[in-house]
Amino acid sequence: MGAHISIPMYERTVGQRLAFEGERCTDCGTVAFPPKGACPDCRNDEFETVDLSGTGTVYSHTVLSPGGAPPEFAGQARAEGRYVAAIVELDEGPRITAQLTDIDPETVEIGMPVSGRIRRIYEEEGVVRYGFKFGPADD
Amino acid sequence: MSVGLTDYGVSLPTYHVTAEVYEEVWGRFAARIDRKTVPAYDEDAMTLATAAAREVDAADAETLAVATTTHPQAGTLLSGPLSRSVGLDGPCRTLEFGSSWKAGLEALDAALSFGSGLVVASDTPEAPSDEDTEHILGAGAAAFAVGDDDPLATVAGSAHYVDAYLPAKFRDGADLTDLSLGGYTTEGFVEALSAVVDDALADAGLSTDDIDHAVFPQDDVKMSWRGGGRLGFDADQMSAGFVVNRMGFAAAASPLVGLAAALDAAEAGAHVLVAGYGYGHGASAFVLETTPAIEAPDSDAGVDDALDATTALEYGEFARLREVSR
Ligand SMILES: [Zn+2]
Repeated sequence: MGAHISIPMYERTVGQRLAFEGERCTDCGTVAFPPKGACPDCRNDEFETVDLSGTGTVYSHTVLSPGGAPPEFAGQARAEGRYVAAIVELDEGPRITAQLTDIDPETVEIGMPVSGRIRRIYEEEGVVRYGFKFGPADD
Repeated sequence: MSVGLTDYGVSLPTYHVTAEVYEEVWGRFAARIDRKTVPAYDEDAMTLATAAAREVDAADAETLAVATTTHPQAGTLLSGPLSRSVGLDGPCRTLEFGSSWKAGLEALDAALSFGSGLVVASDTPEAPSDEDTEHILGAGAAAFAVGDDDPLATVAGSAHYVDAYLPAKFRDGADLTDLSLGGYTTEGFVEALSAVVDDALADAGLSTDDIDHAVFPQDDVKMSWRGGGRLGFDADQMSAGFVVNRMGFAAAASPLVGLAAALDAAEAGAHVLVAGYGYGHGASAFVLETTPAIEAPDSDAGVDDALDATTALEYGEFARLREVSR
């Protein structure tokens, strides 16, 4: 789950990094997050912006040791050790890759309810990048 | 209907480190507190601000008033990313206060003056780890919604005081410096604080005995506790808002996290005094009176639980985290 993104790309995608702004297909109602160029279901290219709940469940997960961290997460892994990468299925349907946080890696289970929270992802080109990680839903 | 606080919330960082852990490594712990909070690698003043603000219902706020002395991105303000993350992006006035530990109260003052808004104070102060000054430094954030729709607490009185006091504590780059001037440090603190506490009580038509909870600046436990005592307040009045004991000192956020803890403890009809002091300039104080809405089950910010929920670090873990994060 490499996370390198250019500053223009970060700027364009800030609505999915600081808020759960997704897109709903005007034809079939399928929700996409992050927004895609075309509806993943019917290929229609007209959407309306929707604010997603930011909650979902763990679809799958893996614990990464510091040695297995991609360069942009090496600092975090050096600072705090292993961490959990997961695929989270949002309540509205889309599945996204994200880190889990505020949780003991041993206690993560498939299907557990999680909610998004904004964390500092990394700093590159002098610009601090923020994005979502997921933690226990009742937190 | 009168303007007041309609909702509030706090956010604390992931970790804490205890006095005992410091004592094992340094032989002493200079802070006279049980433990202090420590941000995780991916937490900063912006993420804590967002988490606190998301605890608060302020969807219609037309003013966003922010206080921090530790901007994660030098040369810009928190209000940009914060506004987007809490859905206030678009037509919204922003005001941002910093540099001084009184900034939290200045943000609150601004929103109260406008009659509505979202107030967020968030801070992660730092100092070199081999200096006593660092021992008390924690982190945290508090958010308050201000408006006239069924407030939990309304303003009964307020006061402000300014003079050219010695900046006995100041920031040098990212790091806090304490000149440790003893009596000179205390002098401005006591003088400015006495002035605003007396004046705010007079403004509210109250005396010290009428105050149920008093929240004083918490950058120095002894000075704060003794200062409160000299002003006529006892331990029963100062305990609930004395969050420094488990949070450490979170700079501009401390008075507002203390206020949140005091409101958690307050019953309807209680009087809560909150005072802030900024080295080199002065002090502000507010007296709030709680309403029956404070007793609604969902009004509580759960400050006590949040302070209990942080994860303990051994000194080695703390040192490694700091070394990589700074
Ligand atoms: Zn479609």
